[in-house]
Amino acid sequence: MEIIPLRITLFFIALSFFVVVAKLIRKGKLHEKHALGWFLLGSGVLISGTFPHLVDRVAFYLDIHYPPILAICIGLVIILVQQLHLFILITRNETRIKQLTQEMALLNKLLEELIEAQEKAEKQPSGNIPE
Amino acid sequence: MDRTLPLETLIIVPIYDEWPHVAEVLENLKSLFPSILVIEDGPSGDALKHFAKENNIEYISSLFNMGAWSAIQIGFRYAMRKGYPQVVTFDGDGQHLPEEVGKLLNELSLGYDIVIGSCLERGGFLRKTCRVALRKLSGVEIHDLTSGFRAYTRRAFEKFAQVDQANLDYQDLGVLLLARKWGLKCSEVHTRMGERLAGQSKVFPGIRFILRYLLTTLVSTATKWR
Repeated sequence: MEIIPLRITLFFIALSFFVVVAKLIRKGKLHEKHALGWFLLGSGVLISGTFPHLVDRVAFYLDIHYPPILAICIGLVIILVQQLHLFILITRNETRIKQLTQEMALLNKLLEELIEAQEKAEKQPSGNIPE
Repeated sequence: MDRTLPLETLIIVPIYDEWPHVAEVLENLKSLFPSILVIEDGPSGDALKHFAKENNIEYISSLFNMGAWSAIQIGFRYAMRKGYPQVVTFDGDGQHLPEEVGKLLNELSLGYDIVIGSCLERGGFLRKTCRVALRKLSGVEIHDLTSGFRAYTRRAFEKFAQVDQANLDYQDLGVLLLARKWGLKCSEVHTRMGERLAGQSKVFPGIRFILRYLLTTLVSTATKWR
């Protein structure tokens, strides 16, 4: 059986990631403001996957003796930062949902009061309305 | 209609799953105070709503269950709209006694912004230890940190009504830490408490929960320090 070169495997994995990201952006499933980040990330994966020796080069200049660890470290940092960003967004959204729910409950109550007052006024149209 | 008595107090009763036990509590309250607002935390049928209407009690229901503090915040907002000068938060489970509300209001009239009605006899060993630990750590000079029986002036509840400023789960230590940060004056009066008729403690339903609560509060204490 013939051996598939690692470079080809990497290229296809990276390419499929890039294509998925591009499709999601096109369909509007990733918001435009997030799109740029994902596009850059996809491009980075594609480049480092297609030219793995680039990673070796960079690792050498950074005094890293085992180059794959560089790729893993970069990946981990990106994931951590993203995770943090997501939790910030979740917290903000929770607060907003709470605000909305509270405000809605209050408005519902005020609306009910308004309707009741109106019905009362309609039932007894005598006296205080100047006509 | 609502502004005829400007010096009225609004009693806010957050309710979660406490029907029908709460009916008795509300009737007792209504015999002493004219303005009562029940806030149902999450939808649960019409029984309470009808009861409130029949007894001339204001009723609000929240779309989702968002915790007792969130329900209380709705009450604060309502009080702001209607121009109430002070509110009292009152649990519907029978622990808080309507006769004791007066004590809180008296203390409030001495110039405090928040008055806590405390009862240190209740709770088991674990709960008492927990309370002492939290007090020592936070440096808040209040003994019953978890009591939901509190009176607020307008100055205080207007601040606490802001969700982004006071995004809490319970009416407990977090409130007191924020009060300290905002320079609101807190006081504590001893109140008698009754037996819980229904439901569980909102803050302390079980050991796993206590531990989680303790850790969460420790973190928030650490982050809100001064």
